[in-house]
Amino acid sequence: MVVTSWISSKASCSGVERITLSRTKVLYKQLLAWLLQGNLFDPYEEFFIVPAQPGRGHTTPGLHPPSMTQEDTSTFKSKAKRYRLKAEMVPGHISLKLAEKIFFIGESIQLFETDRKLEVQGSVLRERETEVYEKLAALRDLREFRVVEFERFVDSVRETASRHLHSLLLERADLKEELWIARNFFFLGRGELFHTFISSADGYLEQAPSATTQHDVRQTFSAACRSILQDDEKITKKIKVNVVIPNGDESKVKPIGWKCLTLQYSVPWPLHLILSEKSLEDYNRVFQFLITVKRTQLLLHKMWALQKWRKAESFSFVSQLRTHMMFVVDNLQQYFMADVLETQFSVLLKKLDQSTNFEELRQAHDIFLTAVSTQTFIDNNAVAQCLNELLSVCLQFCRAIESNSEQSFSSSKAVSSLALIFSRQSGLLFQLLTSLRNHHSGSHLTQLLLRIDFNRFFSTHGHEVASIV
Amino acid sequence: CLFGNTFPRIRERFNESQQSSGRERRARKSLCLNRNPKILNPIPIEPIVLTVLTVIMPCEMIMLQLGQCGNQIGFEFWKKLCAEHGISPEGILEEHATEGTDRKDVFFYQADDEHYIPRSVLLDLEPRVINNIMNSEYKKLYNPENVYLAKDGGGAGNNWASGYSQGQKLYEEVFDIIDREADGSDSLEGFVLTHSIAGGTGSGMGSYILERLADRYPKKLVQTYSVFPNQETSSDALSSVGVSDVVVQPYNSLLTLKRLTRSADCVVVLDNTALNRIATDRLHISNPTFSQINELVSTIMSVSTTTLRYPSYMNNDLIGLIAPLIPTPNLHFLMTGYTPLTTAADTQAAIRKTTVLDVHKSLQRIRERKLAGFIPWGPASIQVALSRKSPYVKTAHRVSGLMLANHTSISSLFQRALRDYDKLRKREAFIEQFRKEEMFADGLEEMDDSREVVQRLVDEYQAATKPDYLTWGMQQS
Repeated sequence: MVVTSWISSKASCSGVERITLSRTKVLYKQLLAWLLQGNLFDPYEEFFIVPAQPGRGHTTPGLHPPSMTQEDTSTFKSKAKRYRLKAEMVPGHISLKLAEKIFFIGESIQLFETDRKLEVQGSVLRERETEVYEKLAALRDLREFRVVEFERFVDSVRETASRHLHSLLLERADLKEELWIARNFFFLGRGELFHTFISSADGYLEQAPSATTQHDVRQTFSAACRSILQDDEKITKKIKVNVVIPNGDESKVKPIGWKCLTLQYSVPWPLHLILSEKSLEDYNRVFQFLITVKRTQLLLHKMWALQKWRKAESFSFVSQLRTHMMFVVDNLQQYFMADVLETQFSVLLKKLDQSTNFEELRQAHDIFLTAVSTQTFIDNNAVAQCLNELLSVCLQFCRAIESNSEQSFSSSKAVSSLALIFSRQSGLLFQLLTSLRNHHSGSHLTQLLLRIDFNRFFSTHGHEVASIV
Repeated sequence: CLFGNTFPRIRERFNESQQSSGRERRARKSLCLNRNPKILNPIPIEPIVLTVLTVIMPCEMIMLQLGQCGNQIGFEFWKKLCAEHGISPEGILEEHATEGTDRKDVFFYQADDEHYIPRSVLLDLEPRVINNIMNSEYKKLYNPENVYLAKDGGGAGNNWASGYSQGQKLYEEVFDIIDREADGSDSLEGFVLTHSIAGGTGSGMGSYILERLADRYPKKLVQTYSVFPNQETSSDALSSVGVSDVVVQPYNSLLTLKRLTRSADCVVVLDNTALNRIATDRLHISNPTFSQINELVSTIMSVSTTTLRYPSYMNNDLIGLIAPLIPTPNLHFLMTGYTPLTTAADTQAAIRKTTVLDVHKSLQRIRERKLAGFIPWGPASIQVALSRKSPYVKTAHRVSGLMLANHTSISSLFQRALRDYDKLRKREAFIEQFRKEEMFADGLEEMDDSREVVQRLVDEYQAATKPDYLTWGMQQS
């Protein structure tokens, strides 16, 4: 029953009034069920919140993602049916934003009800239930629909729900601890663990993945966890390494095992509200990139040691090129791990401490992920491509050194061409980063640029690497 | 062995594991500590299935403490490390040490659940210092099989040649210990040698051991913490500690410097002159004792290994720390700086609370005002690494800083050594005691050769201050 508000005739006003009133009463009944219990009372399908059909996309980002299955978390025993907001059904006098707020409240209630241990939570809300009910009843009994007061009422209920959600996430579910774990693994916070892992797995992961690669990689990873971590069982249950061949055209060369690595991370309920599937995808993209930087760095360091073992000429072109490459990669690593990740993570933790409601939690985390993605250039195609080429040429160089004896290699065409590519890419990178720093809000780049060019060698002679011979 | 006589089948399976890890080999040994074969009430034991780990656990370090000075600073180092990791002087994990994420396995090996033993070999040719250690509260800390005192007990008489030849004679016994320790590690990254270069044992025997390490373990890193002698004479020294009363110190130093140049990968220079001056000028200790100086040294040593011993997102191994500091292999002598400089008693020194931004501003200032000169022939920079502190050690300061630098001015130490050597050598002063040893019986070529090596080192440091260093280097080879 849709009543449009542009009825002109004054004679029919009282009739319209009565229709409006009865319609409003129905709306309030639906709201009551939804706001207090998170249930739908909508036999005639008039409400703007409807059960979500499985497989249909959500119109609004709800609190219960469609992909949450029973296997994902052992504690998640949800009797919550999935709901969604049907924007077309929202009455004209209620803004979409308000409707979303209402939707949020009901979902939160469902969330609280789901947690069996949440007796405390539930009862606190139940205390307010009478209050809420009375307020809602008071609004319903008014002759006309007071939008402003209604909005205010919704806001206050929403704030309560949001605050309870906040303490549920932060205190009871220990969101911070979870974020530490995510950071230690996706962002290589436990450097020594990944140092071990990379050294052990490099042998087979630098080739294209075979049928046994995933099994091997999981073995290596859990062995590394066992030797480095204290509570490795908890971790190995939670985090699994996957070898996923990325989609691409069939004609391309199969990517090496390293490029196919992803982390499968199980998020305990209710922390999926913050560490959503979409955010885990972002985490994985950064992980992929950071692993590449770290293994490049480790390989370059290995080449430094190799030079000593082979008693190679200290001043050969190969040595100097290696020194340059190591310098760049070391500085990049320092930038990513310290300037970006360490800084952003402590900003996140501070924000979490200062937050008071759920929205602030979610926002802090979103900002964190966005900042990390931006500052690691995952989203910046030009820089990302430059970086990937740079790292790739360093890796090629290292593999070539490993397999060749130095004398013949030094004068080969191969090393000259690698040197050329390297100096071009590093010069380009320097330019890109400088312009980013100058034109956009690139203050985080200032430290990197300062260090990488500290003795001004880079800016004056960087392009001359290839001409050292 | 507990297993051996009563449960032969179990022992068989035990021995079958061909790829047993170092930890398992060591566990096997510790199970055999009970050598009494008579077991009256055998306890039924379930057969142990040994899992084969094919994981490289990087970064284990073995410390070799040589001579009087080497053992003193080694002793202080292990004291510090025990405190930081919550290990008692007997090597047992303290009850309060529950943090658990620190990496004790780099420097300690775990004999069983609570028992940690330093990966350290204590070597000396005379018993005084080692006896002091073995009579201290830390006597149970070390593995007694790793303590080697020459039976002769006469020391090396501050004579490099004597130390070196005794090193040759005792080679097998000493390397039995070193090999055993290396064999018991899963993945040894390298050796850390502590010694002084001016005496007899640390310098002479140390030189010999450095040469043999380079032969036997060519793929392992060798880092040294080398104490350079106090160059002041007793008349102009403000304190009496370490003032050279070793007249042949220039010979000893030069001969050792050759090995430090050729056979070590990284030398952390602990300059006794500077340490003394710090103690007297900065810390206002009128007569610093050895233990106060050693306290400073052990602080430097422990802080420089912090990123190896605590979970860190970078600098997880020794190579990662030193490779960026050593662009050409010969110039591998590092100097250190540390702040705040206090001793245990003094908590007055204040440093400003620093943030990342402060560090950045300081770096900018250094660059703009050219407060430090950097090489012109390659990229160079200052790297800042943040690391964790021990949760068990209260320090007066929240923040502390260690600097490791590869600075060409270190060559002034070597130039001084050359000058002092030349003074003595011209007159062949005190050379008789060297001629008594086999190495110099037929002539002093070894000394001449060492001088040449050190001179070339000084020249190379000089060349490194110029833009054409690389072409210079290529011409040399």
